[in-house]
Amino acid sequence: MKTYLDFASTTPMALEVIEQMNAVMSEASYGNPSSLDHQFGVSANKIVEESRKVVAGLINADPDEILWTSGATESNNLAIVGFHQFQYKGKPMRFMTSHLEHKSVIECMHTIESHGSNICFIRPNDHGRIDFETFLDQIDKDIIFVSCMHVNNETGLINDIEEIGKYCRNNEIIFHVDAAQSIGKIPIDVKDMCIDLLSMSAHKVYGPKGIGALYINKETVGRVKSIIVGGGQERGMRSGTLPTHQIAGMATAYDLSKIRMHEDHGHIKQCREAFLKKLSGISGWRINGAEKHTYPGIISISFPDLYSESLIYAMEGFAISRGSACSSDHDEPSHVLKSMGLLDHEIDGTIRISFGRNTTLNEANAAASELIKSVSHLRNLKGDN
Amino acid sequence: MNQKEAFFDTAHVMQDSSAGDEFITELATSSNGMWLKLFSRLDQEGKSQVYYQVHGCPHLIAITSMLISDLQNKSIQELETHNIKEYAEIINLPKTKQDRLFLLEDALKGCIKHLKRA
Repeated sequence: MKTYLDFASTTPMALEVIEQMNAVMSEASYGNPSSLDHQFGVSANKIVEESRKVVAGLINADPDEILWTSGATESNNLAIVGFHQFQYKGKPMRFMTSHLEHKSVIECMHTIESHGSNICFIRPNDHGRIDFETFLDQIDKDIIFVSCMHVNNETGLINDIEEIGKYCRNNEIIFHVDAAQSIGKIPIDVKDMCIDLLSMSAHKVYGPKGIGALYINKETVGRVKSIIVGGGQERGMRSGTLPTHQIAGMATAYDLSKIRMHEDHGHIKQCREAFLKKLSGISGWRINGAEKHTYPGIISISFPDLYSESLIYAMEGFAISRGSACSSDHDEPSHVLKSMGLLDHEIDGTIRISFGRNTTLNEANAAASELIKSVSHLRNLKGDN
Repeated sequence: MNQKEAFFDTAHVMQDSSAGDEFITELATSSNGMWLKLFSRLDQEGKSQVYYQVHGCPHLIAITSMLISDLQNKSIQELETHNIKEYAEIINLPKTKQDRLFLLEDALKGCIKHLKRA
């Protein structure tokens, strides 16, 4: 059995989540949450609305500002394309984002570009982060919408969301945040951070796959245009029968994360420190990004003299990845690392190790030992030892 | 030897850089940065000794290890008739990685050419 160290890709469901989902599926709450003419629907609807409160509570939003989706990718689509389609009146609008974003954001930007609006991409600073100064240097007066991820899925770098949010609010710019990697792991307050749209998913925080949410600030945004049409659920902005058991699972996962956030963060930080301390026994590697402003659960490490695919293969007992799960099944170099200025051989030699709630200190230490052994084997094959 | 065993096998890896002078070396490189270096010589009976160094994906490493293991104590004629393609089947080399075979072929052909001259 391999040790799972790919928590940035997805997480195993918490036992409490599985139990809650089982309970919901077993109870007489299998009715359609929109069918309020009978008890089955009312019961399901009650679970959905209670869950909405829990999700809203994690980010200090009102429950009626939460819209259920199938995950962060759909939330990003709804936030960007849905906002664009609702606001577009034949006159091009100017959107801003960065090359660090998840593909779902970048592809949405290309979509609205094809619909007549224009896009500009922010370059990150030398450490691969969007800090306020970097943002301020590159924003122009025509921008009406900014999309910036909170925690980067490949490097763990935390962007300067609060400062960027305040600037956007003061300048009447709509601010969208992809929080797929940060929700439930570090605090988010949509009011303090002046966020207008926030994309969330459940499966990165020990919840089920296939469920997520979009926060829509009711005062600054109000509505987006539905990109999935049909029965008009979710106030007409997202059609489709709501999956009660998955929604309940997401709420349970968020509830747990709220309770355990501090403890989880401390534990994951310890795992990171133990791993890096042990890894310091060998040379020829570097962390992509900076130690400061980083979520400790994600480590992007570059071995410029090696092939990451071989490193991963050599680390037999551990499930680690090359980078984002969305790009690890093809050979395209990571657009995130490219935008950070890494050379091709540095990208080819990059692995991502991500720790989670279930990782033990022993596993973190063992992973570092195994990595050292693997690096030594591959360097030996090159005649470098 | 399966793919995993071949990947970890270092029996014929050239580890002593100074010993490289006693061998004929042949380097094959690919545009994606992978490379394979063969060190070869014939003993007094005209039989081959082949060692290697390699940098690349796990498939290239495994296939190289298997091939070199099979190239020991062979005559030049036997080296020339050795079928590289069969290794692709043994390790289920993905279609997108068929270029790894070219790298092996180039290195082996170069190696045989030098051995013939020597």
